[in-house]
Amino acid sequence: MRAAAVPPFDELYEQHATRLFNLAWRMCGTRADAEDLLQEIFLLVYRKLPDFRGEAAIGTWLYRLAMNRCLDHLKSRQTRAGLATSPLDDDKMPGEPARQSAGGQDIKRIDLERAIARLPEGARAAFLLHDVEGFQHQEIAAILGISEGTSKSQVHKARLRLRELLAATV
Amino acid sequence: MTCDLFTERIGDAVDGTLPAADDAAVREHLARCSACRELFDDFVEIRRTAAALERHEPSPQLRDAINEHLAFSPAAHRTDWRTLAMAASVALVLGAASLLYVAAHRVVPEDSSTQLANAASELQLAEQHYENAIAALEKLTADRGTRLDPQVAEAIAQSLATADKAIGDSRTALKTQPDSIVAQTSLLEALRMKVGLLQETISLMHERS
Repeated sequence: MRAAAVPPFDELYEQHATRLFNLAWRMCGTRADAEDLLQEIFLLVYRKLPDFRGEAAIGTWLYRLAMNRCLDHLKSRQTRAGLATSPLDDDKMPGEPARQSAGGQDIKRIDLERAIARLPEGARAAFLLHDVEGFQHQEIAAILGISEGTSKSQVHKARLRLRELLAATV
Repeated sequence: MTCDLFTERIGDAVDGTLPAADDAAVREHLARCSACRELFDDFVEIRRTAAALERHEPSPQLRDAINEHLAFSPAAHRTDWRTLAMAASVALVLGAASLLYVAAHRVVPEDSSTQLANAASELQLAEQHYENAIAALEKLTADRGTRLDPQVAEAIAQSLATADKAIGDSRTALKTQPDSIVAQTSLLEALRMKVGLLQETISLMHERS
């Protein structure tokens, strides 16, 4: 297969740095972590760019690298803190659909940010990619290495959990 | 149909991804069920707020830091083929100009015959060293035409032809002026350039395999 056209490195940075930075920040929780991760992600991208063969869209490839790096970072942080959770597990999710309402009023963005930070990693990743960054489930499946159905299910569970968390703030 | 069966489809309805018939069924249920309607409204609000979350900008220094890292990365030193071709052309022009200058301003060397013999011997050794390296590298890159992008292979061929011409010109000059330092340097530079080109070719072939 002939390699797909790869945009120059500067162009990749211009197009994706802000989005990746926000994703890393919301995945990992602090600006400092997000800046460290963004740097690592782009150095990784630079190293791996010659290997990119165009089987996936360059955006999907880039976000897969980024999300893997974020999840690895969280995993090592949890290991250091003595916690053992799988990045994509959903054992913290409610077994039954939440019945609490967010109150039927405008949600404050700061409350939503706080609630997102409390989501389990898998649901948080899928929710950020879908509802915040606007990726389709098919793209999220490719980025996170899960099925399209799992992506849908994770976003749904994230919304239910957010609804619960937001109801508690109303 | 119970609310539980609608719950996941409500998410699809919020995203607008349900087929028309399913969407109509969900809407019909929402009209009758206040709990599901609340869920639908909350999901719409969560989705709307999520899409409008603040966009933070990474600091400009971060980009400088990345560029600084890249400048020290070994991969960053990989030469672009256009640069290589240009460098080869520049070397050829400079080499030819130097040779013409030497021919026009031939200076009778003041070295003793022993010093000249030693210098010639060292040149021969260095030349042999490069020739051996080139022969080995040429074997390894013999199938580059089929293993590289045609445009890259063409750029390499042109650069190698330029290097070969520089080597040929330097040798011609050395036949008439064996003691010319400029001609000797030009020959070694041209040989070194060819080795570099072939090494880059191998790197590119490995990246493609």
